[in-house]
Amino acid sequence: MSMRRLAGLILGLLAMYVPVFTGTPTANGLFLYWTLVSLAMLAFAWIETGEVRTE
Amino acid sequence: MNSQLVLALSVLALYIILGTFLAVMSRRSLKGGLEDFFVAGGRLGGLLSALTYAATTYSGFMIVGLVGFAYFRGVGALGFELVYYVATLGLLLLFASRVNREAKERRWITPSQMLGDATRLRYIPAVTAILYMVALIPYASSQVKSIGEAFAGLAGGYYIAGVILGVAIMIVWSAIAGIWSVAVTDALQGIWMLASATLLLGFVVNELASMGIGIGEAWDILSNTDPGLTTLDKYWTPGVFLAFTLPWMFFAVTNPQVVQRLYMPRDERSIRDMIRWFGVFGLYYTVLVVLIGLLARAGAASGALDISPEKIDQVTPQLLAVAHPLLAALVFTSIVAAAASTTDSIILTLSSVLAVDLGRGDEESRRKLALAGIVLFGFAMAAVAGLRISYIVKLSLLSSLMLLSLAPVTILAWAGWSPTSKLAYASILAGPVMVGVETWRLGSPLAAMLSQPLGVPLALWILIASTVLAIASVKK
Repeated sequence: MSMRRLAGLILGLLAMYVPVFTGTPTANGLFLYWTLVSLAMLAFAWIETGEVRTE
Repeated sequence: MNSQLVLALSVLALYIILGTFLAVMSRRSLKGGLEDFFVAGGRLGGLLSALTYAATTYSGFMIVGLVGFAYFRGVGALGFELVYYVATLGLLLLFASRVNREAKERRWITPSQMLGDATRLRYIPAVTAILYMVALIPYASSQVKSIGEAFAGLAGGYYIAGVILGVAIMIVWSAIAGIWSVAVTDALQGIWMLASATLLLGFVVNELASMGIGIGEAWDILSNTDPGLTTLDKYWTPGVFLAFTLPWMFFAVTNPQVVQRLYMPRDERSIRDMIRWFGVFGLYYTVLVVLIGLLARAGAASGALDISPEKIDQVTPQLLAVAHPLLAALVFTSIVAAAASTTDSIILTLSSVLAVDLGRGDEESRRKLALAGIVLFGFAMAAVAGLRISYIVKLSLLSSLMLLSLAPVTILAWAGWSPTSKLAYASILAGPVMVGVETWRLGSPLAAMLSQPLGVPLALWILIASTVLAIASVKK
């Protein structure tokens, strides 16, 4: 199991929950924030699968 | 018959003809044997793997439920759905390659077989097979019900016709070539869902623009209409957010129809493409659908859209009532497509479980059992949906909660541990038992889902109990 991928998953999820527990940013900010975190996760997935690997 | 109904049925007929043509053509890929019928013999290409994964995952809930959810509960609906998205992408990155490789080595067809191998416990395949049926038949029936409701919303009185037509499509498309016909029709349905939702958003944006309202102004309208729509303070307390997100976070690990899809990609390159294109599809579709709901609310509040829904499920039908008839017909068909693509995958998965995990005899008798299972599960879902009781939809909410306790044992097994003591049974059954007790205690599935015994969401209790038991079941 790739520790880097595990760290990516944990960090991605923590980032999604941050506004829920720390109070929300501005009205527009919440929509943008969650979209950008998800986009960052997609970019991470894209980079991680960049080279075909077996594990 | 009015012209709107004729147009909607014409577009639906076009979709059914196109889907059936693709399903029949896909028979050329079918080589025979249960492995090929249910998991494509591990020969599916990357793009097809991605589209079938996405179309199976994203059900009719998105274009009906999530639009309404965003309309009434605001931006928190985006966080709820994107937590699922981030979790799924991460879990696919971590485990898809390994599961695909082991599935080919051990010739797995069902997720129950995988759990049986992982735990080395004799009755685990049968126990999980029954759990899948208990959890997924109400869930799939609620999808069939949504097709009936779409028909009823379109013309009134056509509910049963919608249910019968929906189930007939699912049975035929599943039986023609198994996963091959389901995968190619999923691809069609996925593209249809994306295209029609894009057009619906365009319509809502255009209606707002005609009143001189841009996206920024729409956000101000939302905040002024109800501050809870653009923040988490009113509707999305931490407890509610956790209760909604935790069961879905592990969907990729616990729901057999998506776990089975990890067995299908042809090679590492196909797995890579599956993860990447599912990622693109999921993010785009989620943002699109939530935006439709939020902007529709701004449109209704500003008078740009003449809609006044009172319930979550009424938002999309009311939007269709004021949209151009052709757009309404396209979106109506996409509701059928989204429900059908999820449900035929569930029907196929349950029939694989019936034939492989519960059935006996040689390959030929299991193949016959599988085909009988497709028809049987289709009829069962039609019968349950035909009752048109709202309780079914509420019950379906519990499906992921019931399956949640499969997550710890599965993840331990995928990570290379051996949860092989009999405590694995207790871990797997913790979810359905706790859900059953809470539903009985509170008298409502919805109340059970949102319950917080001792201030902690039920989903978290299930995860804690099943994780402790799963870890205790590991033998060194």
